Amino acid sequence: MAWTTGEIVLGQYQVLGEPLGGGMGVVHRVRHLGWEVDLAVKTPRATASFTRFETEAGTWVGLGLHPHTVNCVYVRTVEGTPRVFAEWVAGGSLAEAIRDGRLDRAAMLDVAIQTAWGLRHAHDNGLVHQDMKPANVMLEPDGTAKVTDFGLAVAASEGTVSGGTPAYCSPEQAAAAAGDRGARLTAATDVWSWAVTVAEMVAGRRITRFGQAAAEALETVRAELPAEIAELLADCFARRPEGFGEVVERLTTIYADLTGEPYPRPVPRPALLRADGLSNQALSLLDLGRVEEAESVWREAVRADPHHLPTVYNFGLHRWRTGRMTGEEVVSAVEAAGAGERGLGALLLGSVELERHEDDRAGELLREAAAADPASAEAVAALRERASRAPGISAEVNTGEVRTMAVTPGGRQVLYGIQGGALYLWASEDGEPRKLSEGAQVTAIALDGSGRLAAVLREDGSITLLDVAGGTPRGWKRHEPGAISVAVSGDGRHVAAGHRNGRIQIWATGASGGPVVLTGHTGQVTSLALSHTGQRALSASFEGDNGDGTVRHWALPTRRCVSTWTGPRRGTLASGAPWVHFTGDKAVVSADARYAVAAWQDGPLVVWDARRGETVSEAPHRLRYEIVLALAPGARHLLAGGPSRSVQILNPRDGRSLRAFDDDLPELMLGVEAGAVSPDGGVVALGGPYQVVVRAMPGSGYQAPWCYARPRPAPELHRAEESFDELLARARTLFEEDRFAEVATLLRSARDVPGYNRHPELLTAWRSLLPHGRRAALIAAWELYNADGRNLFTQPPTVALRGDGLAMATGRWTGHIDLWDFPGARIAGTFEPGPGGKAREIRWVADGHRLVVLTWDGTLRLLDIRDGRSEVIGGTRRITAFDLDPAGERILFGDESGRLRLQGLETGGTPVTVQGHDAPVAAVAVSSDGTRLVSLDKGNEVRMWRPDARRPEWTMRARLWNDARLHFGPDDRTVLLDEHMTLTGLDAASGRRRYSFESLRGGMSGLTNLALTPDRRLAATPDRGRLVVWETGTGRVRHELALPEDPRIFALGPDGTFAVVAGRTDTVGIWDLTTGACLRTMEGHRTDLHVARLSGDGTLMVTVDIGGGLRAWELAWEADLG
Amino acid sequence: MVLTAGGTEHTFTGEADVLLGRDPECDVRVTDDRRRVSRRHCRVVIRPPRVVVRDLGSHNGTYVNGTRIDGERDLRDGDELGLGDAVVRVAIRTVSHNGLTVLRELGRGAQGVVHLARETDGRLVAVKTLTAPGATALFRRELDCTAALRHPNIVRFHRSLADPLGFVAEYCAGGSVADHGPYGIEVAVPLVRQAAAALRYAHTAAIPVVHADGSTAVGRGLVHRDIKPENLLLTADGRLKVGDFGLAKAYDQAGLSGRTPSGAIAGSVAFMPRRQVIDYKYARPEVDVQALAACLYWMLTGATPRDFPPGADPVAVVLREPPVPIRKRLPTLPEPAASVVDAALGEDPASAAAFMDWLA
Repeated sequence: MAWTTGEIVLGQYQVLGEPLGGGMGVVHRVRHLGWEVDLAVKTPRATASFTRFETEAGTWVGLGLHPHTVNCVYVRTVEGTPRVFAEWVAGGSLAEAIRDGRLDRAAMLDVAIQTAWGLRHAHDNGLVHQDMKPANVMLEPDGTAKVTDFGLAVAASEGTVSGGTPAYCSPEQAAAAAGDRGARLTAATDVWSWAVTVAEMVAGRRITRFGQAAAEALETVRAELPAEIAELLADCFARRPEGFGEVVERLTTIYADLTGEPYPRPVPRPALLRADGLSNQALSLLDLGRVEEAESVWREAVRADPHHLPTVYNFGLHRWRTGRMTGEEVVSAVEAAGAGERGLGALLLGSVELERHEDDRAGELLREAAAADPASAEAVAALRERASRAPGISAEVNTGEVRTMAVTPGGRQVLYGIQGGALYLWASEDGEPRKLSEGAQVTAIALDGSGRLAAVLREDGSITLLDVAGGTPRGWKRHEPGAISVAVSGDGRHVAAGHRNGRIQIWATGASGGPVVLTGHTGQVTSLALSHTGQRALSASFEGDNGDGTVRHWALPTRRCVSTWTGPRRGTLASGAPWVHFTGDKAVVSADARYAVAAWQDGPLVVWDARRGETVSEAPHRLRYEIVLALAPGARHLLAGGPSRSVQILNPRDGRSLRAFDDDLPELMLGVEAGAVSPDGGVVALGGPYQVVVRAMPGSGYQAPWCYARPRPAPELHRAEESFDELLARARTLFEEDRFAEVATLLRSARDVPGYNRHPELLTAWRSLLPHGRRAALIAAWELYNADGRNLFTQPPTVALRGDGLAMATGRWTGHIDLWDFPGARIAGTFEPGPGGKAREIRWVADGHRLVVLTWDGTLRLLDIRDGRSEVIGGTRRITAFDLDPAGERILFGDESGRLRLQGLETGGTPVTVQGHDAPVAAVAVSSDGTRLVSLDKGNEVRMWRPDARRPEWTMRARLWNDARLHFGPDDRTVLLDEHMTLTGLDAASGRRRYSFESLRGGMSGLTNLALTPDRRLAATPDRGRLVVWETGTGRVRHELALPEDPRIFALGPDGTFAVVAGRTDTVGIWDLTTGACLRTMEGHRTDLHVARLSGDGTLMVTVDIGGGLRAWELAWEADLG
Repeated sequence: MVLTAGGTEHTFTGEADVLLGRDPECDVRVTDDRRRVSRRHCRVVIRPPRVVVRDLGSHNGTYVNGTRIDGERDLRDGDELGLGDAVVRVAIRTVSHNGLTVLRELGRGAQGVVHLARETDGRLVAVKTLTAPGATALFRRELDCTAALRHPNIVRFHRSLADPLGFVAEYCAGGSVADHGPYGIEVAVPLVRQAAAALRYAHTAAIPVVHADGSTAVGRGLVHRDIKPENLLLTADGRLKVGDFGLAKAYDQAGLSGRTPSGAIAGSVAFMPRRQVIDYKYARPEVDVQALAACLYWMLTGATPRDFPPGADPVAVVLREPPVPIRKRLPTLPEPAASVVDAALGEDPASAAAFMDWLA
């Protein structure tokens, strides 16, 4: 379709001026309205091979920025045609400049050198241009030359022709064009065409019509050219160099000789594609169907800038749509990345929310985006979509336990039966559901194609018809004991019932008389559908042993079973017959009786076209325990859900999850018991123990648009890169000289270089500066990775993060201990299980080489990560508690017999044993100098010991020993007794209470009661809606952090400047203790958190939830000095 | 041509491919109540004066005046196309464009299509429509200069046309030399002699010259630059007339040459002197003579002076291979004809003059 001048394409690109004919097709100049940037849009001729065009264009996008190549911003399919969006260069082409005689000798040589550089850049990246000619060199008004249309000529040609333009083609291109299949196109081809171009430029006219005759043609014009240039070109034709290295060198010499001045331009260097460029490249690759490459480029972009908004948004959308991320995770990630960019952040977030059908939130955000940038076409389009959206597409209502349901198109009405037999009609727009009738339990509900007529089957076999709109019964009624499934034809004129004994009956509702009976199934009919006119039926007989494992397609006029479909052979029965039915097989038919989908146990997920009687597709699947299966018309979507909250929409043809719903479901939706797809396939309804929920079918309607990053010209990027590199180099030098305050100033300047504010090198530099200054602003916080330890970790999970954050230990339920390269996201080694079962507690020894593991069976082991050795400490007694001194020299442990033992971790030194208690030891602590031991027994007695004493220095009573812990304060003068609901500071010398805090947490075990800084100077205890941070030496309260909910799991930043807090919701907040502000909220965990641990400098964090989900985070901080 | 579907008129002029069907993408959307029209039902191909309808494998077939067509059929004015239950009326109005009524296609080549047409006064003429993207008014003026040539052995140029770009010239009913042959020497030489007379005249004739700034002057001599058997036309009574005089120059001047599709390169360089292949601006009178010698070579032997093996680049062949001596192909050819022709195929301008003298 042709674009006309002034037309606005995709609401985003305004077409400027008349289209130009290009070698490869049509070129339009368009203005990107959002960026205020002009782009050249290149569209291949309709006859061109799109596949080749896409391949070549994709390569050009990946070329990276260079000052002498035209930057390809992205490739995007518009109106079914792939189009290249490239930098618009004002100033025209070299062809025009030659025709107009605009270039003087120096300018010609300048163009020759610049184009050679541009082509060399392509060659360095493995790309041969193949159509170098004056028309493909763009000249900027300042004389900068840029080579354009890389590879497109080839792609735009119609297959057999090797592309190129005859007047510039190389001998090998000519040979290939003539049909020589052996011809190879290499960099030499471009050198040849470049030399023809230069000859034309210098001679002032085209030297030949046939590029392959250029060597001979050069002789005809040789007299007109400067001898040095003629000689250089002749060498190019005769010697066929494979690149521009020597050519450029000679040219710069010639330039100096002919002009009397040295060549002024410095050798350019290619600009790295920063996150902006990478994100666009990934989108181009995705558009071209190269999904894996796109994902890898996105990951590269995330490495370049973990909070790059377009990348986070695009990559998030992509993974969400392919079912690998939840909508909530995308929202959370975009929220975090968009924190600094209000307008764009709101627009992108609003678009995601709109696609999620979170209409209210989307509206708010989009209005904000439109206010921030009234010209934004995307915001206007999204708001229009928002305004057009029918209400109630995402709705929920409280009710009884739903057993079965049906939903009409648009989600306007939901019919459902609840436990106990009541039938309800809920018009989602009106609010409250209305009870239509009581009776025996509703077994099944079927709708006609329009959703106006419903058939309701109850357990007693009664089948009634009702008008959905008013909920009024029609006169028609049948009583069929044994019926368990029901169907209505699309036109509403036929009703069918499937029986437990395999019989199917079909009535014409307008006629009197008996039903048509279909026999053939030998088991219960579990899924049943009628075609639009009721002339065909499709039935399935499954669910455990009561089904016969077949899907049957029936022709009503003949009452015959037209075709039968069974599962794949998965064995042989004793009778010798193939074993095609497993009890775990599941099958469902589409309401239009066209398709059936089966998830065969130990077999594939298969779509079957009943009318053709053939298999459409086969794909792997993991469906096993789902109790709800519903198929959209055309078998486009498969709803699979239950018995827990998990619900997903699958593409049955490839088995991939299009959307997982669990996080989108309201809290009250404890499980999914029933589900339905509307007859038009646009709406999903779900029912659980207390609720009915209506959601739009994913992929229907609005899709959030991709976000293309504004391209920046190579020189600008170069300048940025250079000044950034320079600032960092200076910072490194000053760092060596310990001039930290100046380093901080330089790093702040580097941060302000556009596109580099979160550059990994900058973050590393800040990190090394952190020990020398005060922690200041949080630059960024992002998830490094996540791991699912559900079937791996101990329950509850045991985790120990080493102080430097580089290593982490986790315990497996099998008793293995895994050692992680923490930032590297991999398990570096595994310790075999020792005696005593699985880990209860793991701690790092201060040297960072060893781990102490206490198991649930009371074995204490010392593991050495350097040589993998493991040693049991304390013999065979059941050890119940241990503590390490801060220096990592001694370990104190108590056992079931009440004995305490203090011993050196290195061999040598005499262990000290104290028979401290008569009851089992519940908690112990050792002072930093090893001269005092404190212990608590299961009789609630706290005792303070000197290692050599026979009697305790003092004793006191604790309230409750369960979950209680003991800690020494940093100066050994205070003992912290951390027990249920209370934190008490005891004077270490006398045992007298010095202060206490009520810790008003929920009361469940497993929640954090006390968090300490690594130096133990500060502690935090939970309170209602607050976190109280106090000094351990005095009990003086430092901060009272007001929180939106009660803190449950928390940790203190190493210097006490921030806290990491999780409440009842599964998000983690980073809070500034001084200002009380929430710096960042991080989402991702699907269930309650169990533990959060920070590295010693507060830049790495691990969080683990009670379901074994582990997430690694990085927090990047700036530092204040002076 | 006008197609009327569902009360809507769709008008097409000139060459066009018209897609008909239910799909919204179709040029003419045709629907009926029973969806018996396929998405892409059929295509009407307009190549004036011919109009053809082609079924695109539609489910229910395409009908012309009630008869189902088998693949493809010519359409005439007043025909009725049947697609499913829908009827599309066909109105073909003869193109009377530029005062010409196009009668039939005579031939087509890389540069364009030639049609036989009738002038309003009833004369038959040849109309050549040119594919010359980017051609300007200057190109037409350049062409119009050719009208100054008046010679019994030169196809008379009547006038140029703007839209579509082309020109009207004398119609030669006998086709071209390329359509016949090989020729005996007694036939070939008199024909070539007529061409030589044309060249002799043209190379010295007074003729207007258009300068780059648009001004005109009177120059002397016009070189054809593209002498080949296809351009040596024959009248009904067997006389030879050189066609397309001035066309190659106009292309060259406008910078439009060099767009030859690679498949046609062999055809365009087979008769061209080597020097001209290298440098197309090299257009002295002897290039026409040398090309004419190559034409005679072909007329006598049925072969071009050089062999162009498939898979070899024709330009490279011209650059590297010498012409095959004519007696190798036709041992019976007597002297001095053989040596005159062989010499004229070389690069020496004097041999070209000798060839002309031999013919005279």
